[in-house]
Amino acid sequence: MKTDTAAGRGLGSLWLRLSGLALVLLSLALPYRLRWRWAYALNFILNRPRASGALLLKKPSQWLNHALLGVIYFIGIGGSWLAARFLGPKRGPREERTFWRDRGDPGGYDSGMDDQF
Amino acid sequence: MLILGVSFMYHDSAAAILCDGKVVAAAAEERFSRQKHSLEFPEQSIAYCLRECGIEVNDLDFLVFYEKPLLKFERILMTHIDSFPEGFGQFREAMPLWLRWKLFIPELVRRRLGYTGRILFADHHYAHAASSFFASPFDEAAVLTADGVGEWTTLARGAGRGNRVNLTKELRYPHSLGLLYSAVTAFLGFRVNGGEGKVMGLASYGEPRFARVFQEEILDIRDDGSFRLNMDYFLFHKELVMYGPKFVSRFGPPRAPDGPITRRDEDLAASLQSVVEELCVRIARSLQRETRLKRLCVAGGVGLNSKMNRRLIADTDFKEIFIQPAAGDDGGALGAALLLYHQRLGRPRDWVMQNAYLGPECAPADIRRTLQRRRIAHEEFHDPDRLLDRAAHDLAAGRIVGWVQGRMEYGPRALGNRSILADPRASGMKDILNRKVKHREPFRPFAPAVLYEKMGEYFDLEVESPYMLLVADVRPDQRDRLPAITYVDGTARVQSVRREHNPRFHGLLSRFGELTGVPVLLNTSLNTRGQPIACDHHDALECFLNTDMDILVAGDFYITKHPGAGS
Repeated sequence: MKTDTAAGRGLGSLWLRLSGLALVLLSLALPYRLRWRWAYALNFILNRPRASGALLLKKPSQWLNHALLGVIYFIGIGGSWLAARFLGPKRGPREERTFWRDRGDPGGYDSGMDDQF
Repeated sequence: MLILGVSFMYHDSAAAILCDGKVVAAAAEERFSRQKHSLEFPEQSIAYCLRECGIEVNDLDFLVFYEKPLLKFERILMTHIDSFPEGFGQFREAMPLWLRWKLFIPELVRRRLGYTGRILFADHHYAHAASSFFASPFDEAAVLTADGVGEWTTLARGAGRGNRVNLTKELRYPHSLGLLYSAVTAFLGFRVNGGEGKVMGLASYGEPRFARVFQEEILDIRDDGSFRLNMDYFLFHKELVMYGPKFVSRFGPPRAPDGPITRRDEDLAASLQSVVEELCVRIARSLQRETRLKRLCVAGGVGLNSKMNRRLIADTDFKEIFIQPAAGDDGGALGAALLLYHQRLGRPRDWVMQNAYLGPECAPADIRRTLQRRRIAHEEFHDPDRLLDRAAHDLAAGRIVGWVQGRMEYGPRALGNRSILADPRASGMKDILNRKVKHREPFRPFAPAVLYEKMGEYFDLEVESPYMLLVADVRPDQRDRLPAITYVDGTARVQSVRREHNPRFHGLLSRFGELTGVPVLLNTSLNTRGQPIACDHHDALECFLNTDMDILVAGDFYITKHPGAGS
């Protein structure tokens, strides 16, 4: 039975964190309104490519801004995927007695309430 | 000390407020916004909670969010990496929302509320666990939480003792009982995060002939109840649909929304339900062996599955069970606040959830003003006993009565304060209610409310069920007397009513019992299909005027559609 295609198991966490960090830092670096527009633009370009092509002719700088997010996706997410595929640990089929995972020290959950992670 | 817990961003946004460890108010945003399962920022529920406490937002000592957004974002990124490039569709849907507001919860809270104090973040399943254990009457209990997914966790187990709760083991995304249930819900043509209860209802009509398919092909189950999903059957981890082509090739074409329900659909629902029950029983048994405790607290959306809950008490060594009425994500707001107060701040427990009536109340002057302005026929009763007599007579005469009393319920069940009530003895009542009042599928069952002290005469249930979250067998000799609330499999989802928890509803049940010999009423939520349960008398009036309900009783006001009707 194929169960290890599931997200997140054994992937290179460095790549994950770098791509995630790039997304977060780029978003944080923008002022609130621009960030909102950026998100809207990403939605626009991905959902309506023809209309966004027309936008390219009218407002090239804004389109460039939109395209940047697409680049992040394909470089960040795609790069991480490539790294996981070719550089990550190789896994064979596993036979486990239990699928339970230990949650670790509960103290960490208490003191960590200040953090979003 | 004032703590506000909030949940939003996924589904069932809500707010709950604690004053020195006591829950003063809690409500889901959908009731105010009238958007069912609203995920929006719970501005109106927060405003209600602050109003109920008589404070301004900056009087709060803490505001606590019910999950860890960056951990959740990590899971989403990992999922995208793993499913690249197939996850592109999901990415383009999800990422704008994350970049716009989901990654910036503190900023959003401060902008929307003008709040300047401390903001904290609870682990999602710890919030669920706290919402049940810290609200329960138990000093120590095993704890089981299960839902679709929190940050990474889909199911967690552990124990609570005193003012500490400790989740020791977990299962992780995408291996999720909640998502499995949601995938089948979507396959059967119902809405994910809302239609799961319909699947549970449908299960009563079917035979579990596909159970082995689930056990042997779709799930990889261990003796201790831990499991993995075979992701070949699903797409929820990388696309915007829940199930994949392999699921369709195994079970046939999915049912179209509002399409006819076939024998296959009923059997699929029954199979899923039986497998979920069996898994949860195995997990509970293993948890009981590990903790050696006799009491169990359950939370998370899967905890709303009343048939499963019944098996947790009937088929394990647990002797008592507590399921918090807002077991889903709306209860996360309450749990986050309780977790902070007890676990983080170390404060002792001196509050026990006695009832679910934590929402807003309709002021009599407002009801009177509305009725007069809209020229709606009504009578005001100054003697509550006379009002109860009148309503009981109406019910015994086969009339359908809307019932709006006191504070609104927290959680998805109407428990006698925002209810539609009817005579459970009337054989055609289920069809009339489904067709003319609720406007919903004909197979949907209705639940009974019964006097706690008479429960054993009608239902085979040894523990109380104040929040309508346990199914019980209707005693064989009572099934013919209670056709409107007896499911096709001879069971019912029971609400037991104690006088001290809801005196007026208890009084109505008693009067109805005196008149008919049966202290049981059919109790369903005051709403129509697709609408949230009524919050105030305005919502109740809309529901009343747009359906074939006969009478509406709002506070002390007896309301009819035509002058003289019902008398």
